[in-house]
Amino acid sequence: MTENEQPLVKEQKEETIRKESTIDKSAIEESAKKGSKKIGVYLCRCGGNIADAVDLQAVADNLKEDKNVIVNIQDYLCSSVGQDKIKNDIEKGKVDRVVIGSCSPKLHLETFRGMAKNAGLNPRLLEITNIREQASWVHDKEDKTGVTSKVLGLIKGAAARMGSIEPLSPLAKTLVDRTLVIGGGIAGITTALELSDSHDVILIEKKPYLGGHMIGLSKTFPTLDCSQCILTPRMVAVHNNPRISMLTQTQVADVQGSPGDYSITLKHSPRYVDIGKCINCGACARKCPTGAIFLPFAQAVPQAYMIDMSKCSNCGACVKICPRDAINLEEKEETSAIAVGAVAIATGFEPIDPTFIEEYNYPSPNILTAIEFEEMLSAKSKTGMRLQKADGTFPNRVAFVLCAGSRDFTGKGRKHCSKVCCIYSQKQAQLVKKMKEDSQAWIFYIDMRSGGRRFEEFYHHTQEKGVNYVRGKVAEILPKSDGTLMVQYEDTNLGRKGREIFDMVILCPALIPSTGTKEIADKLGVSIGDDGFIEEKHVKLDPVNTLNQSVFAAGCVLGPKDIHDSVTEGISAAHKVSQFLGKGMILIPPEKPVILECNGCGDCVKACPYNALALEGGKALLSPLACTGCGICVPACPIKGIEIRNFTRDQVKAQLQGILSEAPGVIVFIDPYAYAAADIAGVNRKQYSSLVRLVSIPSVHILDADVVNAAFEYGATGVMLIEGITDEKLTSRSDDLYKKLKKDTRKHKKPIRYSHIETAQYEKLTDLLNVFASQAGAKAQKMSRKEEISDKEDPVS
Amino acid sequence: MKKEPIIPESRDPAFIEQVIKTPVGEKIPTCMQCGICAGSCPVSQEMDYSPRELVRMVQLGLKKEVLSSSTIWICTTCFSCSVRCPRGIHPTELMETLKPIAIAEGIKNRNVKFDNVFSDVIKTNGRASEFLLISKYSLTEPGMIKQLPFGLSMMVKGKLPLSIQRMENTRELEAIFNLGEKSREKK
Amino acid sequence: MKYSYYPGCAQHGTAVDYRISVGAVFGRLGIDLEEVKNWNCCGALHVPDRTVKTGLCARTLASARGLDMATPCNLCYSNLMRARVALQDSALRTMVNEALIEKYDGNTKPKHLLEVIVKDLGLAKLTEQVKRPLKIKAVPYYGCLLTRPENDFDSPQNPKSLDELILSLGAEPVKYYYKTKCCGGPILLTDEDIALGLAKELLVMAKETGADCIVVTCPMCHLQLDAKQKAVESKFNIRIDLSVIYFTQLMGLAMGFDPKELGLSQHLVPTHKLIAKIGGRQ
Repeated sequence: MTENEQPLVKEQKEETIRKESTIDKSAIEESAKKGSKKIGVYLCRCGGNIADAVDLQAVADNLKEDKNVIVNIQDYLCSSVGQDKIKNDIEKGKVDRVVIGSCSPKLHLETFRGMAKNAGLNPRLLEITNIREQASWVHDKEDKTGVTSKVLGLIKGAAARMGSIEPLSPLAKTLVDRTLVIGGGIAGITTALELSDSHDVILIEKKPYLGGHMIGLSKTFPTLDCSQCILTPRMVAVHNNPRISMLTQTQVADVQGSPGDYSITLKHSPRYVDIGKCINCGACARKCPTGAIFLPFAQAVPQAYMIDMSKCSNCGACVKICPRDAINLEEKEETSAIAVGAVAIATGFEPIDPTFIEEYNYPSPNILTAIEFEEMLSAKSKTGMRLQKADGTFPNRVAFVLCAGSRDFTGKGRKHCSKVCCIYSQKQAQLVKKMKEDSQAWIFYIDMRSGGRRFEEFYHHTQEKGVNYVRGKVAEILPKSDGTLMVQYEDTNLGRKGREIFDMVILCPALIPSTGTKEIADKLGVSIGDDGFIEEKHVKLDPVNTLNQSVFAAGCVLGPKDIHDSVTEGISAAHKVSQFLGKGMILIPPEKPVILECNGCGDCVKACPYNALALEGGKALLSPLACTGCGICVPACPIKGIEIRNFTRDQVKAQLQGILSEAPGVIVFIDPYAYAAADIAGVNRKQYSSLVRLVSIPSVHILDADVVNAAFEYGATGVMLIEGITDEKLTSRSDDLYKKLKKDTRKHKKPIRYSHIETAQYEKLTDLLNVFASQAGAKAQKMSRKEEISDKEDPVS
Repeated sequence: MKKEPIIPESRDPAFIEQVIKTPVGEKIPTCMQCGICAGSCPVSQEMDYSPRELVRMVQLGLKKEVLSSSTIWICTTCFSCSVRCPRGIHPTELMETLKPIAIAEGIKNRNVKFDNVFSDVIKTNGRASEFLLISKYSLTEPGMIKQLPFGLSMMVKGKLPLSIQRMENTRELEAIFNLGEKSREKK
Repeated sequence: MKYSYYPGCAQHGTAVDYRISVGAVFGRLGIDLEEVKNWNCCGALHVPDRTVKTGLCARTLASARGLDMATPCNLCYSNLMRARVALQDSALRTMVNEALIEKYDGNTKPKHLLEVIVKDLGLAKLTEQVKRPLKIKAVPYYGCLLTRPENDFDSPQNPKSLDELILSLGAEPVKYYYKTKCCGGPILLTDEDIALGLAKELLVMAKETGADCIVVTCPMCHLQLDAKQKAVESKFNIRIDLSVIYFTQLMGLAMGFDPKELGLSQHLVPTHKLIAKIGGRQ
């Protein structure tokens, strides 16, 4: 849904919308017949990106045979020249419906629909057929004929469906002006503070205190200012801000509702001390015989004690002594419900556990991760902010081992560069030298990455401080009986193996998304990449948006980064949230079910996973705002009385007939989530068979045997359903859908498959497509041979 | 050691092809020269080129240097580099791949001699008798004579039997030894 | 429990002591090792052509008669495992099978004898047979090829199975960071100086742990650490004097066998001090 599309009425009343959803069948037919239906087909060469693999002129010549179609080819349709051409044609009345053959609609559908609107055309009367990511980029360059024929089919299909598209307008829903920020690290804190000027915020944090990883840092590069000194004022500001509700020891348990209007269940684990009552007097801790009640650390926000139940003897001494009656040993895990319109995910990172790197012998005394090193010197220090070995003495020789688990393509570690380690290890080396001038600090690196303002200078400065740099990935760390550590490596600059003895070795572990990132992403309907980080809406141009318009992200949940960049993203996310909430309402796609006939059986009501249907006066009635448009009610209706607008059985069938009019192929119905995977496959040029024809539908659950049988009748050699949505309410029913379709289409004896593909699994997707295309092809050959034989054997009849 | 500059003539694109096409060669272009292989190698200090340098030379196609290097023969096949390489390159397996290529190119050294003796013993005998191996290898490698006292001490303990273990019929082994030739023809 | 048994060439040469102890211990445990008829060498590390080596191993794997194939040698084990993986490629299997009289179906699973004890028999069962808990400290030394390049038996660089076996016999496995480092065996005959240098490091570090012996699982490692120990001592002018025994010998001692029944008198580094400490006779 785009800003280009405004709803008919700004605040639609629920009843009006309901009325609209129960129009009778003739109205749709009426709307389909209206107008002269001059379809303009515009094909984009995209430089050579499309034209090199597809004979666009041949496509155009073929399409022109239809008198109702005009065709035009441009070098770059997205350019102003290209757009002006279409705009002119619309304004002069040459066309009243538009089909564009270009790159993915994910990139430019908004652009083109905006242009259509300006030209006075309902934006829904313009659609894009993806002939780049899903055709020219993914098929054999030698197979130009095959790809051209595929593209011609796809465009014909799109034009056939376009002929009966309704000029719908989006629905509008009031937004809840409140934001949930998940994660109380520097990114989440920044997002919350920036938003709180004009919006209500709920900030939740899993730990008992704010500050995330940053509160566990010592000095911060490249300026060496103290982490807690710059962070504590911000944490206090969050605590004191009347528009921010700060909830520690809190996680998301469940998400209901839809973008702009979520009902979220939060889970609070017990602290056993009431934060509101605790005055931080410490009487309880002085009385506690087991040391179970404590303040996490001196500057912790909130400033309140907490109890570690694994240490508590339940003696009740603290309860008796507390002057504020703040302690409750019976406290249980609780839940609460909140309503929010937007969510910002700022759940950050965690270090990978380096135990799997067997040659580094972690954990062993005096082998630490960089995070452990930082904590020793931070506000959270347990050593009085002293750097010390297991025996309490200062380490005179310290080694820093970069890329521990990063840049690893074996599947054991992580592929990505963790980005901050080059600089923070140099900072840590400087700290060691600062603490004791004659100490030694060695940094073992593969590539010293210090791009950006002030960082090369920092590298240079660290060199000046006498830190020793070795270019070579450490091969092994062997603990010795005297507690020292032998580090073996190759100095690759010299091509010589080396061995050094150190008192302490610091591993710089790969930074990975924090535990639970996938669960949060699934609950909120956003994707993660194969590296586990949240996928941005656009890597470069929409860096803090996700594919869910009401969910945003900031900080290390989007990839490893430093404090500066986390803060920048926090500010950006706050701006984007504010922009989103500022509209006051959310536009909802109008491609919802329409109830054309109803016998009051209630099957659709039972089928709907979102309680969007109800029986009123013996008839099914839809609440469009609760409806997600999944279409599961369509096949549920025994009298075929429900259709999804603009994806009616007749419309999809018309599209299939067009697609298969040129040559037989494999029809792959694909939902928007898996469609994104196909686009990524395209960007990565993963090749698959040109027999594959992807048909974009809102959800695989709108399909029934009527449509699939039609596909087979029009010449599909196989049908595949690919679902990418992770909502269990739907995926739990996919198997039944598949079995039913298989049973009800078996007369064709053609293969049908179902697969679930998440956005990141684009390689799995192309593998599946290839395997299925060849299986379907083989089966088709076998059948045609059989038919030949039976033709020959059957001369009598 | 005098080092010749690398000029276009030093590089042999066909050699790159030959190695990259093998199952272990596929990942060689992704080497980032981190040196964990050379650092892990228990014998890299004995080699003229470390495993890291060897991979680089394969990337460049420096065929002559690669095939005449001591690296591929000193390798003890301990696989430390292979299990540690962050790019999934298997230098140990690379050495195994390069050995037959070097032999086919006519490289001669005592390791090749030993491998020849070993293969001959297996081909004709089916099993590796230490006695047979050592005595045959000693014929080409006179330095082996200083192993005599050690051999005697083993004999005393019954660990170097003069009776030679043999298979009954080694004709099948001939066919197996022809597999090397056959697999090269296929490619 | 029954296995087809591939002894490997060393069992009839440098590892006769190993063979004796395997016979004694596995007999007592009731594990049937049925020796493969007319077996051939696995190719060791000195048949340079991988396809030939795979062919040699395929012939062996084909003779397993549907049983898992046990082997006492790390080198044989590694070669058989790698051949098994390579021969999952059906094109290669077809080509190799053309050279074989008995064809290999791709299904034989090789197992090192240590795996047979630790995984299949189970250490609890072994402990039942312990008559004389060994109150000694032992260095668990696995060598390279028991766990590398990779297999599903134990981890490539930090395996635990031999440690656990030593523990189950009443002895203490010492922390030994060199447990999977190379002994130098493969280059002993061609580059002896280098090979002895590697053995020296292992021996010195083992000595440093204060253990009573080194426990090994492979004839080649044993050759390097036991038979060549004297050479290491004289070359580097050091004193090691550390018994090196096969894990089957260690098991046998704990199970109450007489040291002679385990081939312990055939070592080059004398074992009597170790045996005395355990309380066995010799």
